[in-house]
Amino acid sequence: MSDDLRRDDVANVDGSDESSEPSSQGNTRRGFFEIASIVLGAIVGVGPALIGLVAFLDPLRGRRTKPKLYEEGAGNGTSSLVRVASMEALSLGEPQRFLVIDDQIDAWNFTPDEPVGAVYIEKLTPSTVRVFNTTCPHAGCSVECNGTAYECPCHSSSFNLNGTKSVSGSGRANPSPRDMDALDYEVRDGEIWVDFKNFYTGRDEKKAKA
Amino acid sequence: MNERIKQLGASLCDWFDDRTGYRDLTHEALYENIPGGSRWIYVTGSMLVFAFVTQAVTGIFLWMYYSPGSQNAWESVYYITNIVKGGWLLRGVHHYMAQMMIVLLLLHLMQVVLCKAYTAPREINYWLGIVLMKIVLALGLTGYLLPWDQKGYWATKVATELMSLPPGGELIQKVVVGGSEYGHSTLTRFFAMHAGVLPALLIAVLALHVAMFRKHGITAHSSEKRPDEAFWPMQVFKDSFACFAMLAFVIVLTCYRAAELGPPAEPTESYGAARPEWYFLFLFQLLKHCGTHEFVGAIVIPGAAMGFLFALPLIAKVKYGHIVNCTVILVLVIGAGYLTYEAIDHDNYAERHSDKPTDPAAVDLWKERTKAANAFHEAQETALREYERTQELIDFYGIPKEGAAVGLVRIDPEIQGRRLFKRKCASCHSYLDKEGHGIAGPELPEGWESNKTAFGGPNLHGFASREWIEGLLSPAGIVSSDYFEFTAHGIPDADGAYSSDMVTFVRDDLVKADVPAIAAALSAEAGLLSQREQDKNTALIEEGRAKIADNCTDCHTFHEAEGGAAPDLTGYGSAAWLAAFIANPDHDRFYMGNNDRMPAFAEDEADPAKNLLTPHDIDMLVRWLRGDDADLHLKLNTTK
Repeated sequence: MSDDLRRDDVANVDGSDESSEPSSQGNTRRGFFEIASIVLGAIVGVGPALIGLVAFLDPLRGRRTKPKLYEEGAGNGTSSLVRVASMEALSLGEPQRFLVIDDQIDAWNFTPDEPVGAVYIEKLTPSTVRVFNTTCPHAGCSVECNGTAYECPCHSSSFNLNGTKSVSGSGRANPSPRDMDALDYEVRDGEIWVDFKNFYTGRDEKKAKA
Repeated sequence: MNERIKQLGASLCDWFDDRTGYRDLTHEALYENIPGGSRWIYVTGSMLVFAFVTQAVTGIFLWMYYSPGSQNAWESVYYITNIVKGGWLLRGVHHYMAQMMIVLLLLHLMQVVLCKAYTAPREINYWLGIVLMKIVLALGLTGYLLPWDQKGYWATKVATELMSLPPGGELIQKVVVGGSEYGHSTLTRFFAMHAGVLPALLIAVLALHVAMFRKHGITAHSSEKRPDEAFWPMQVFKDSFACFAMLAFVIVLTCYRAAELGPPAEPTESYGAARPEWYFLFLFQLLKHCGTHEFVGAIVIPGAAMGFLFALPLIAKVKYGHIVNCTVILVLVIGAGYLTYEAIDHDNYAERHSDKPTDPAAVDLWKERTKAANAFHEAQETALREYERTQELIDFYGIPKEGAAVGLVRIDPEIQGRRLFKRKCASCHSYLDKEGHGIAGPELPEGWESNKTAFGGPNLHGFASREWIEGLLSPAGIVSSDYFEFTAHGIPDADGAYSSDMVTFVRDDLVKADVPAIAAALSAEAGLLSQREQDKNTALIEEGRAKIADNCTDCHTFHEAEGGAAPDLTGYGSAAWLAAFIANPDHDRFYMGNNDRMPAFAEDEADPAKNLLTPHDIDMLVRWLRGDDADLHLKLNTTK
């Protein structure tokens, strides 16, 4: 038994001294095992992480499909529009905040008729309205309406009732890169149906999140 | 140009080396001397480290999806397994690598003991190794609960129940479980242990273990014939090849048989096939052998074995101590191996020991074990069926926020109706299809043929369908085991005469040619989803209704035609009819005091709490018997 052999006691083997190998055949053999070690080591080193990475990047695959019960009911051609409010409930020139109620897919959970966002609707004429997503285009906070303007509580973006960026009296720069995000809508039998979307914030162009 | 790049590279390396000393470190790591040269047998330690790293990496990725909590745990694991791309592979690798770790631990331990690597000066490192083994076993135990499926739930529950046995155990149990009962806190605690505390401990102890290994070096068998070698490249090659082979094996295993997930945990629905992971089976079996002495089986014997493991280096100091150690270790390993084999053998007793023993003394034990094994397999089949059904429910309804157990399984007639039938109805009724699959009714009492008394009821598979009614209305059928043979109606007296008017009528008076129309009309009353198409044939049904009026209404009421003391056939087999019948078969609408033996399951309408079945239970049973929810798409199309 050489139990007491210590690394320090033995100085005979030193890989940096390649010339100690007896023959060129030995060198080739050694070279093969060196390369094989590196290759196998790399595979076992990154293999598990790669498997994890595939799963980790799953959110990039896009939207999940709804369960069959809800999928089948959606074939009436109005799938992207959501009923939000009644024309009757609104008064001219007074923006009101409404929740957007829609089916929600949250990872493993599916919840029908869940609040998925909010909009401001302002009645312009008896048959037309203006609809804005409440999300501030600057950094994604939720704007509030004070009756004469929309104001963001986070970084003081402010907008006129028509959604355009407003200029403050002091000349302070408005941090929002664009006007408020207007949403398409339809009025059907006095009901306002909105094409609800969220948009990327902090950029000039209005691009819907997929 | 090339030269300049090389120079730049070299000076970058120098710069880095000056600041980190990496060259010395790598050199030290790679050129460790192995007395006697590299060997395949030395790979177990590296494999264990690699297995742990794989567990840490895959575990962290699983963590990105896993959500502890009794309404989310199973659901998130379901999501990982079935929805997330590559999630099944990730979970499978984690699942099987955990088991590889246990196998390797055992090999590593055996190797250390047999090669005498636990003796001076390596005792402390050996003890560190034993601590590592306990940590890994604890990781296995805590991980088994996390999916929160029936198997993990019930198997782990046994382990934590046993924790209360030693003095002070009740407090330990409460702390570990996070309260007296399993719930959110159990999962958050187990998860924190599994993903936080235990891995951190493991890393710390492992660092010490490896450092000490480096200090003492390999316990080598140097010999004249084999020259010393450096760790690099041959031992590195052997190590990395072994790790690669293990990873490949684990991946293949996952592809061949994905990591299991059972139906979601249901704290009130015991799982008859709950077993710990295979590497704890010997403890499970040991407990069985100990009978009422759980304390001995769960604490004393395993504790003594652990104590012995710790004492190995001390025992080795005594003369022949090493030989004693090796012998005891081998006995322990063989014993644990045998217990594991026995546990598996008993669970598969029915097929492995299908011949009845010739020794009459052994017959009772054989019967007991066969029965237990059959129950085990039945529980497994049920779990599989319930999991597949849950999958169907999820595809159809989605998983609600209250979780799959509460929001889907508990209100699904296919799962609950069957469970209730087994508990409340199968003591009399069977539920068997033509091939004999389904739920068996009561066993034939011994000597029944010679002394017939009522002990059972009809087979309710396909109840109220045309086929079922046609069987009832055939002379041979009505007194067969599928209908009245085991009831008071179907047992003839000494002269071969039946006391039941129905039996006499079917055998003597009913015209065979009338049966299909009668069956069609009566079955149409039920409005079974499975007969939706057939029930559109109104001509046959109308004909049958007329025939029922001619043939049956002396005894039975049928719509306007008032009958006598036999069950009302209006709405026969419909949900309302069945619910009322189950509630009280003796009611004036049904057997009018002439009921054979069926209990009234919900006699008290005013106070449901006083009844044997709740309204929800009855709803589940009725919908299951009628097959209302068997085909979800059909159900949806019909409601539309």
